[in-house]
Amino acid sequence: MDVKEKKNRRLSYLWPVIFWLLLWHIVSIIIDSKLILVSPLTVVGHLFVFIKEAEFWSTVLSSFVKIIGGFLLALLTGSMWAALSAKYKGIKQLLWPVILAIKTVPVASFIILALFWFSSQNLSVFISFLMVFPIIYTNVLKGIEETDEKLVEMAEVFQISSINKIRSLYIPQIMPYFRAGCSISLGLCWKSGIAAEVIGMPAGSMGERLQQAKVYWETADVLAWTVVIVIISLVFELLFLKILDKITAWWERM
Amino acid sequence: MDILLHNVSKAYGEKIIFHRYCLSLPEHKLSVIMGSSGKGKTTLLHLILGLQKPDSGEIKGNRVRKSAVFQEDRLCMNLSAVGNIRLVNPKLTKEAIEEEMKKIGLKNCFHQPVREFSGGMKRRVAILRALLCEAELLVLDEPFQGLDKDTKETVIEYMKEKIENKTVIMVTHDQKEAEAFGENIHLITI
Repeated sequence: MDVKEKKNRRLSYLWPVIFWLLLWHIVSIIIDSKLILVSPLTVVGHLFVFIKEAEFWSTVLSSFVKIIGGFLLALLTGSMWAALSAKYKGIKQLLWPVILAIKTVPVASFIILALFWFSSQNLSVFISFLMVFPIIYTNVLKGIEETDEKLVEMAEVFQISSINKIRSLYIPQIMPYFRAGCSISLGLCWKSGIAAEVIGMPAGSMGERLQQAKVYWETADVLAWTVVIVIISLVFELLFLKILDKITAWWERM
Repeated sequence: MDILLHNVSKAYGEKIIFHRYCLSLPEHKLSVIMGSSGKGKTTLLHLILGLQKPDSGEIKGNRVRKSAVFQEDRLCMNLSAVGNIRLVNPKLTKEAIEEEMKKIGLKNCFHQPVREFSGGMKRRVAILRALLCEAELLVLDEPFQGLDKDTKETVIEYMKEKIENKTVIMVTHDQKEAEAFGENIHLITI
């Protein structure tokens, strides 16, 4: 891709963002109410106030650790249970109602139920985990099941060790499914994790700050926190997928 | 030990492939199986490789370390040729594999993923993988398909050297391919 093409590509991403920000700004001027809609410039102003506060960073860190903790836990356990389900049909049969239930029950129901079971401090870990687990489980299982049967036979004939089979046959097959699962669930874990914090209001969380802003009708703060969440979510997704791609490329070169 | 098939029966639904079939394949010799399509040549190889179970009867002498060239290449496409071969024989060094690759005309492609190879190159890697695996029994299912005349000749010469004193079972449609291995072969028509 040459410089001109890169520039064009960037521009094609940038102009719609500018268009919508301008529209938002114009609508906020027309409405002219700080309670209903503030302009993007006001939101940016509030953001600058936030980032100067030490509490802001501890709040962001607290929510980040919990939500990403749940996400990583789901990656690990979802992959593990998918591998077990691929090997033992009984486990797959046993798990399907659970996976279906998690996929279909509204996240709000889980949040409320979870509040009965444990402290709101760890609620976002649980909810983030719960939303990511079925996606990773389903995708990894699909990846394993789609592994070329003929290659598996080849490995059997040549008596290739289990470690080498996993490394050379299964992982290259699973990786695209795993990546797609991560891409979908990263956005979802932030949405559900923050929703859990808004309902559970654990002290020192982004959800609590959002809820407080709502209670005091601080529309600008609500939007500023929303922008913070979107930025963190997008940056983490980009970084995570980039690292994953690098690991995959390194794995293939090995 | 010879490979013996005793009263082997195999059917796919209504279609009977083998009915109480008996066959003896000598040890340390090349057995060439010929026959028209649909006669069960590949099924026979799969039975010997243990990939399929006979409905009845028994197979003796096949519980040894095996290697194979399948009808399809069955390579790990993300791996290089060296990677594919080391997968079945980790003891081989990269340099040793590269030397063997050169002998069958595979040069300057040692570390390229095989998905970037041409059909003929992939086939040669599949053949090399089978030949460099330290196996006692070698099963070759139409190994030269997709190779041009010159490459086929090179590969056959290379193969002759490598299969000496090994138990080899090869399926082919081409009488000339069988003849290229000399007169000391065990020819079976099914």
